[in-house]
Amino acid sequence: MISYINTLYLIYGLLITLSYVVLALISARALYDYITLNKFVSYEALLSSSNAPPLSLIAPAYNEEKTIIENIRSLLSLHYNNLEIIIVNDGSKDQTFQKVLEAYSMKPVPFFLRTAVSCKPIRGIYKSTNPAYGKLLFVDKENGGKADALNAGINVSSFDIICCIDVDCIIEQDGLLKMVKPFMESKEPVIAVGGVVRIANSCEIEDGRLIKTHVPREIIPRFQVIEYLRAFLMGRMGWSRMNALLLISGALGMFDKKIAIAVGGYNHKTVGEDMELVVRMRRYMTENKKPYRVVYIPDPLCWTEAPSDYKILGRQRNRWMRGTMETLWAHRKIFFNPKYGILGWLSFPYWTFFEWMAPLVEATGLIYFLVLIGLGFDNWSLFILLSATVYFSSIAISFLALLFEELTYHQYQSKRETFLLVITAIIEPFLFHPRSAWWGVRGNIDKIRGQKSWGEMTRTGFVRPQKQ
Amino acid sequence: MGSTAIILQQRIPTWSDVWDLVHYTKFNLPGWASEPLLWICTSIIAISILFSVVLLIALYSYRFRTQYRLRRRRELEKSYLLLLTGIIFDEPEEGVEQSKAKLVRHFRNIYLDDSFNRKILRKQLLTLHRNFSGSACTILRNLYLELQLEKESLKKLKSPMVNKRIQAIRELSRMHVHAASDRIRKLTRHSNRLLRNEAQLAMLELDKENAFSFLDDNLQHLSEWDQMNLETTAHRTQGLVIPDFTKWFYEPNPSVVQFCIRMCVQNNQFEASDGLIKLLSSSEEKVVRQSIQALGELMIDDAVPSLISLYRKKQVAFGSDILKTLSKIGGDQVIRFLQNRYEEGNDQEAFEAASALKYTGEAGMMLLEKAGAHAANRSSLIAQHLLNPYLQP
Repeated sequence: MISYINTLYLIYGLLITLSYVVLALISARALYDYITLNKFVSYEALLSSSNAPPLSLIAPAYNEEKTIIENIRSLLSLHYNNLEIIIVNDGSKDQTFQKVLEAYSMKPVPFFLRTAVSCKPIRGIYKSTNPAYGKLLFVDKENGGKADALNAGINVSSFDIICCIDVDCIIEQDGLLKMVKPFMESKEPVIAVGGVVRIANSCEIEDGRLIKTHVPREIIPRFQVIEYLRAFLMGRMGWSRMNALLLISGALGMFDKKIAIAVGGYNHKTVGEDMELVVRMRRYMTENKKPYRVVYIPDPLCWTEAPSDYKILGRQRNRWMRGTMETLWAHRKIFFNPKYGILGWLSFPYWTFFEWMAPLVEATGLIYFLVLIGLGFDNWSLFILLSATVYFSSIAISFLALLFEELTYHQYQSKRETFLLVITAIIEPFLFHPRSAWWGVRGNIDKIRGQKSWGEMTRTGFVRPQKQ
Repeated sequence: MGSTAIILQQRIPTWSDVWDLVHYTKFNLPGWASEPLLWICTSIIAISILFSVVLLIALYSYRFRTQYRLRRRRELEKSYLLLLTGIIFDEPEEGVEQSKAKLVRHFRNIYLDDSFNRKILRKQLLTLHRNFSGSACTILRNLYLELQLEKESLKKLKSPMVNKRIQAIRELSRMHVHAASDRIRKLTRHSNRLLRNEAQLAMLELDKENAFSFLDDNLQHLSEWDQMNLETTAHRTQGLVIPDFTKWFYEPNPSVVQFCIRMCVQNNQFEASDGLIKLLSSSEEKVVRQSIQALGELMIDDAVPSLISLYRKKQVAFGSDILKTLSKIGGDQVIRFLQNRYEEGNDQEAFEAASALKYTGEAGMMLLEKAGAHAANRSSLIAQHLLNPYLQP
């Protein structure tokens, strides 16, 4: 009996390793194609063309008084002509509302609201009296959570493509131009586009713009740099290539508004509203037998401040796990359902077995091993063999992600910083991964207990460049 | 067993020693699974370690190579810029021709024996060529030809790598190497979309008389992105002969039709109006939408009855576009229709109709102002929204 359980754990470890290798290979090809072929793309035509699709950028804000002014200024400096920027104040309890009104000379306007998706009541809509901020629309509403705020933004938006972002992210100046391109170049309709999110801790930011990138000085965000590189450059690129991507990060995603409205907008009842919306949109298109694509682009378009203490990071990961569980459960019909094609046969099973179950398997594996020790059946040799297999393969995969970054975007330019990342990749499986698995397990426990909150996320703010 | 032997003999362990060590260790796996699983695990460990070392070497060697090339590139760019701007701006004492010949000799003797140097020079020439106009461009083009850099571009045109071919097309078209026209024309129907579009854009530069011949019997998809690039480049290209785009209105490829409709608008081809009205009954949604928009841009009065009739039939699909187009055309019939939709339609329709009314001119504005002055009903809320000076698009 014990030997069979051992075999199961070993096979699971091997399968997960194999899946990473396959994804890495597919991503490598996708990245190569993207980089070589997009080297010659000029976005000038898009900037000047009257045929460039107009965009509505929606950024919900909740208790952002410390950074909201600078964040809006950063959004106003984005390179895109036909753009409206909608800031949704989701019933902030601090001075967010007052600060925006004062800083941007906002006045209430009589707005005829057409409710396409449900959201909490809107208290007022404001426009700036200063023509320099003509693109800006400020919505004040009752608190209802991020999904609800995004739905309010959808209701007031004027254009057919919406870009939903986290207000505290820094979007690259040409980020919107790059994200709009897939909507225009694909023969099949593109329903959603995602961009790579990078860690901005220790990077130099001035006037809401990224001046210089650095590897985070603190170890916790540095672990996340490795994690994000693996997830974005190696994972999502591969899924996108197979048109099997289930998740577009809530920090930056562009959507076809008509489809988003047709499926009812963001779901208020989940804490993983970003993944849930993409899955629902994909499901809608498949069920209505419409061809479509969900595209991911590897350019570093969005920079975000990662949690730098374990407590806040734990809350974030706990929420991500609950969001994953809620989405997988809500759309369980897709699971191994041939009607949904690659979604049913590959994406959904992968997320179920390797994203949701992986922390549980790791935790039960550890408990099982401890029980065996207690019963005098300890098997150190198998434990070491399995751990070594997973450890060395995970290091190889992290190094591959670092090489991908070096060959493509080369964001970290000093040799010292690259060395720091190499060392971080070596120690990450010991110092970070066990905690990450534990947060996943806690997410499962909290979900079973009925926990629905987001958990408070505090940020320390970005680094300013030193004055000469 | 293996490890004891190694210790006793004091030698470096071989792969078979490692395998022996793993093989004789008790893993408590079922007999049938033991051998293959152990083999797989040890192989993964060995491959991962080896692979990690290779990756690290690759990472650092790539870093050193990139930094070295970057340094070299900067130095070269500096020298090239000095030489090239010298010949463009300075008045040479010994005459332009002698000075140019001297420069060509200088480049040949010092720089052009190395492919990296040539690559940087080509890039530099192209960048300067794009930023200058008139005689400066001619000087740069002549230099490109005299240094026979076009030969390398023509060679790259045969490369199996799409990105190299794209680069070659761009170089040849920017430098107006007409000798490459026929070869580039063949690529306008290539299966790779990016290469195809680059070739189509190049034809606008290289064959101004017959630049749009790639539209004939073209069955390959022209994406919105391709169309926008073609449209922008056509707009910027001087001396381009503009054909009658209506001749492609009945092509089987809807993306070609869509592009031709756009080009009719860009070139004010009012004679396309009958064709555009006919295209309103096309089965292709994108063609119908493009035709609706074109009728508005060209302000074709005759299209009003057809547009209103289409609105009644297919309001869900094209309603918003039709209302916008009607607002551009204007007239009594349009105002009556828009007023009706403003009062009778659902919220979205009423808003769009009122928004269209606003742009029909004075009569439409007066209607909105009148509605806005009334008590708080839907029409008045819409009117107040649309007339608010801060909510202008």
